[in-house]
Amino acid sequence: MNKTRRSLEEIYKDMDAINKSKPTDKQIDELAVVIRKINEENEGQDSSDSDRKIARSDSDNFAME
Amino acid sequence: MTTNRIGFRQFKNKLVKSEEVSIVVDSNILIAYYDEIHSSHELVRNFLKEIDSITKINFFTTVTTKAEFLDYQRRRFLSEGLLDLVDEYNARIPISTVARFAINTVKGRRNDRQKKEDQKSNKNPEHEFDSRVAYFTDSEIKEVKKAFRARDIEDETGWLKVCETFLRDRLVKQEAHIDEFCEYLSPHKEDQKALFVDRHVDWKKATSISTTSGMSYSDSLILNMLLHTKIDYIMTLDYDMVYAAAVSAQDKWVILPDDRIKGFKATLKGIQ
Repeated sequence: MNKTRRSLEEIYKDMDAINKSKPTDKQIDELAVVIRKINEENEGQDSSDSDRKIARSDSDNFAME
Repeated sequence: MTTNRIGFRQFKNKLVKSEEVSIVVDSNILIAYYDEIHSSHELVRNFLKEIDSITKINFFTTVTTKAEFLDYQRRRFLSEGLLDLVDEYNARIPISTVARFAINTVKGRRNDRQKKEDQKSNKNPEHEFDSRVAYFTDSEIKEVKKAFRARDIEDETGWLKVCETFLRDRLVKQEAHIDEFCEYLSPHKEDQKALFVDRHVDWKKATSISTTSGMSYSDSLILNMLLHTKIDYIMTLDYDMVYAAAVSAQDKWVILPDDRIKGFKATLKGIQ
């Protein structure tokens, strides 16, 4: 129970530094890479979705004919 | 009828150098102490700094209170990070239109809340600015989280990376500092044996405390724990805690800001 701790002010300063900290440039760059990759996957998915729709609509038209 | 409320100033004057004092702290004290936008921040910060310089103070709390504080910080760091995504890092991080829309939607709601809270504070100087309004609610964070999920992809890589960037390290480090700041009361810890009057904590008593004055269950857990110990003091900013302590913990002292003592006199008349 009788653990030794630093003064509250010292702990406060560490906590405050964390509160005010921002991600590093490296972290932001890494996040940008991941987000870009997901966007590309989504765009790829969008175009393959629309390709599938066009193909389906072509085959529907063919069947109707 | 004497009261069990003691103001910051009176408590500080009572302290004797070299005499150790144990205090249980409520989550709102931790939040006010560490969040600069909290209306009681300066008051709590100065008070804790002063009493810590007088004598050795052992701060205690419960794991529930620690969870409340860390949860507040989680919402804070995620909110700040998400806001930075559409402001500061707007040009560097190309988030999807859906994600940007979701963040801007919740940002709009947050701004409205904050504006209303500011108006209340401007209208009434005694109004306590609720710092929670500055951060996204849990349901708003979930709304944004869903917008980050990549379509037809099972995992949520984008969101996990957001958490890693803005939240993980900061919260992990802060938890270590909070663990240094206070001890968590537990009847199972051998080194806390001497602190407890009764090591068999009766949790049903928490229900009784909650149902007697209508206070939240999480607050009644901390008051119940205090009642099982020899610790004399609990420090809080919360009206409900002061109220419940006046009813259910009359042998314990509630430490609160001086200017609030007067305010409780009228409502608690007849009890204390």
